[in-house]
Amino acid sequence: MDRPWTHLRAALVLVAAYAMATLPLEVGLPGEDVLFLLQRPLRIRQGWGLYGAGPDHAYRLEVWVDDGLVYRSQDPDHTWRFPLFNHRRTKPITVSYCHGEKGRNERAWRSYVLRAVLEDFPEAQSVELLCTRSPWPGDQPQRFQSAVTSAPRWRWRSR
Amino acid sequence: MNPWTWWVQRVGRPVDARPITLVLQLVVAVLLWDLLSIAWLDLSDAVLFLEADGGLTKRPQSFSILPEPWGGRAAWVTAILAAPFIVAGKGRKIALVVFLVAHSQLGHWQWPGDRGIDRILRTVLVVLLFSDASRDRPPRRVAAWPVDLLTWLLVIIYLDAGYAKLDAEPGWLSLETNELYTILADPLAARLDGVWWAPYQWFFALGGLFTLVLEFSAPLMLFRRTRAMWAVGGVFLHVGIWATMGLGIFPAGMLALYPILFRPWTEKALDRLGSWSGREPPPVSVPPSEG
Repeated sequence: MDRPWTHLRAALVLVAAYAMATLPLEVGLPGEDVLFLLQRPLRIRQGWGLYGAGPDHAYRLEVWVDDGLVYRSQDPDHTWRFPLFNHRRTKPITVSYCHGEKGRNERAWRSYVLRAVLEDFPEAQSVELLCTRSPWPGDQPQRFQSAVTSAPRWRWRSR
Repeated sequence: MNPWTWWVQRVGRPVDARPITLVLQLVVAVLLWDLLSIAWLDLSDAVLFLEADGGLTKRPQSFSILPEPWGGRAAWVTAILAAPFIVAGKGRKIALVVFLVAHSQLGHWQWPGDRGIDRILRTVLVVLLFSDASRDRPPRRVAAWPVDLLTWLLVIIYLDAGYAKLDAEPGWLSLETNELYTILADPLAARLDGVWWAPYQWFFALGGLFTLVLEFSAPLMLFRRTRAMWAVGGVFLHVGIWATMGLGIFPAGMLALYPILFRPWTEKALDRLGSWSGREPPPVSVPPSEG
């Protein structure tokens, strides 16, 4: 119990507990900057404001191919490429697009969806990514924003 | 006894290593499942490549050291190859370092998809890396500090999640448009039909009350008498999240940490499993000093 190692271990555990308790608060306590820097390489920054609030409206994504609906959020009859829009690693981009946040990955996302459409519907002439917005409970969807592209140039236009 | 002596004795007190090792195995298994899902859901091009090469992410974050265009795929394959070694206990410490670096690099590479649960589970792995419980053949008893540190981490996570809910409008107890209702009926992220469930706001207000009480009572995890009781509520919370939301590994990842909260039962279950498989169970009675 009196070996130096046990004291060093106790001190390190104390530092770790201090970091876990104080870093989420970001109040500028001593050593905070150093601890933040240590966390960055492993992407383990502490800060857990998980699920504070829900969205202010009910947003839905719709994917239209040649005026035919192939995907709509929460619609069991239109589930084309469901994982692309709903996997936890891709969903944040879908959500960001539909909430109207001009995310850095929006262009890549649209291009990827277009390639997927042309893979599954090689004869397609137009594609629209439409986001609707409705006051809760979500039964009055209105066009919120959309991007359309069509053959032969396949350049996206926002509506 | 002075406080420092008490602290040194506390972090060094011996506990059964098996629940800690089990948490390590479960966490890595959950992360492995998540990594494999990228392939079987046909998302590897989308997730593992950058925009210039047909992926969804414009560019990686500054701490990425991965070369383009194959860096994301290399990190993904490396993490997948390292995971079974951690679960099986073969070269575990080295495999854990490799897995941590590869998984965090994948996080830097495809940062929009690297979520809170990834940070939580990597934090857990960093803690367990330094425990004797993550050796290939752990001793029967190890120092208790990883148990205390992970319990403390869970307390902070739940408290912070509760704190984040206080500013929400109209709020988690509202009978108008309850926050829990808007989360669980969000068409982009969850499974409940918002129209069908709209008349039952009282149900979500009760759920919101349960969530707030649970999250703000998280310090009960710190006490032996109340820890398991609190954890039962936590299990209900995460099973509810799993049933109603499409959050991927979040519920499973959090529940993977619960064997530590249910430690006496975990030890008994492992004893029975050991007897059933013909292995002699180690003596695992909880010492009186354990809190």
